[in-house]
Amino acid sequence: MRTGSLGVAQLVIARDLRLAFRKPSQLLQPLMFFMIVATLFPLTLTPELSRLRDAAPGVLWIGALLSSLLALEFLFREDAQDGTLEQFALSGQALTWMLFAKTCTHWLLTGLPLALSAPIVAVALGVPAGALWSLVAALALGGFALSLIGAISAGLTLGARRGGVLLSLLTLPLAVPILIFGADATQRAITGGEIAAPMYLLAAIAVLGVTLAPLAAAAAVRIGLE
Amino acid sequence: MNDFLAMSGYGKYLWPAFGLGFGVVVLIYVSARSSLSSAMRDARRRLEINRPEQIR
Amino acid sequence: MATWTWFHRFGSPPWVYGFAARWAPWFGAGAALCMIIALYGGLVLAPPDYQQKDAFRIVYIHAPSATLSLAVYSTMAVAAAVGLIWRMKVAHAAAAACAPIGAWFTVATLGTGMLWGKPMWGAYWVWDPRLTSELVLLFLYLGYMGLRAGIEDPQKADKASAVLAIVGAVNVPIIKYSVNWWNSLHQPATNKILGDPDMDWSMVWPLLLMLLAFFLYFGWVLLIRLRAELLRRERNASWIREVLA
Repeated sequence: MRTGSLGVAQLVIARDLRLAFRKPSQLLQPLMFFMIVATLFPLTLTPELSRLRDAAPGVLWIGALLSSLLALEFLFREDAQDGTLEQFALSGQALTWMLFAKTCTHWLLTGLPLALSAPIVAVALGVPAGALWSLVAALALGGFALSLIGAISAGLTLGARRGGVLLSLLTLPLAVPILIFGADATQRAITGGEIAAPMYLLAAIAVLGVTLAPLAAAAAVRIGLE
Repeated sequence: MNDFLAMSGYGKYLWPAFGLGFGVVVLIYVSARSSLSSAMRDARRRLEINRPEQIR
Repeated sequence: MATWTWFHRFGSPPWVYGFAARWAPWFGAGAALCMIIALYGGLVLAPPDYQQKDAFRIVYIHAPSATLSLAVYSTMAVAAAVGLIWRMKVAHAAAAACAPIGAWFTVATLGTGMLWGKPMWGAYWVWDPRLTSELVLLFLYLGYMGLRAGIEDPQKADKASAVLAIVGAVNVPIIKYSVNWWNSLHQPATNKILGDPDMDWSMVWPLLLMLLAFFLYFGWVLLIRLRAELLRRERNASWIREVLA
């Protein structure tokens, strides 16, 4: 039975979602990490809301980045270990498309919940209510771009020793533009300015990521599976 | 000569900067050379050739 | 066609090894000659700058290092792409040889930049956009070398790091753009220290010559490292026996 591309994507996404929801506690871990990291900043800096507000874009985006890095390890790991990834590569379907589907699921399970729970942390850091929607939008978009770029590093480090640390080291420089534009959007939202410019740039990076990242990730996975 | 070394007061930044720059230049060369000689040594050992006097 | 034979020769490790052994000293000699003349021109002949007095002379070591740090990365990425697309072992060897060279150039750029910054801006590090981009470039180099070191199988290491080099190369302009964007948000006055458009020709020619010197030097050390890489990779080939005996 030949499945169309959309069908393949649906199957991949459905499978990943089903597997993820078998262990719901694991889904909460990135969120808990995000909240703990965000809590560390007032503890180490100051409890003054006015000063925390200045640091809020950095705290939120770095916290989101670190949580995503932790979650990225599991993007391909289990599938690589139990041979599923190899089956994907041999299936005759486009590996690029299947990995793109996996990345989307990863974002649905990590980046998106992170973005949606960010307002709780943001309010605790003194961010005004008017900035919260833009914060969610920026983190959702930036998180998607991050998942795409992270998929490349995840693929590259599949067979490497100490892959976890290496994955973070490889992803961080590539994530710099996302952080800069995302934090800028959040900062502008906090001070009440126009967020269009950095959001468009974030969107541009996401689009570039959608077109190129899955290709690189598929190449990386194939190299690792050889 | 002293004016040259002092470089209108900036000498203490300028000369260390050149020192660092050329230090790195020398370091890259030394590291490349040592990489080559150790590769040659390993290759000789692997092929069991032991005539270093004849190697350029 | 003549160009194809030439291209094919570069695919042959023994030919490249011989080429490197024969031509490297010329690159080295050329580099040394250009450096000496450029240093004389820059440190002795060129007049002091109107604003920065003699401190501007650091440009003669800083700017070439910076240019080379980027040029080496580009070379690395192109070599990696050639190796990946045409499956040329020599290209992968060249990419591997480039990495430590480029990383050191980045270190030199950062160090000389800091020593230039202290007298000009008052602090060794002020998050200048160009130096910040250079710092991110250093992390890209270290990541590349870390990935190579972390993968056991040499062929996999070659190919995986090739993908990384290409991804990094695509990202470098984006990173530079984003860092400039970030800088324009937080520092209204741009520091003209590294981009003075009104330089007198007597100040410019030593810089150009120094740049040429550094490129020749890169060729020199690259060819030396390339020989080492080829020796290590071509484990039991008979040509190695001939070359060493």
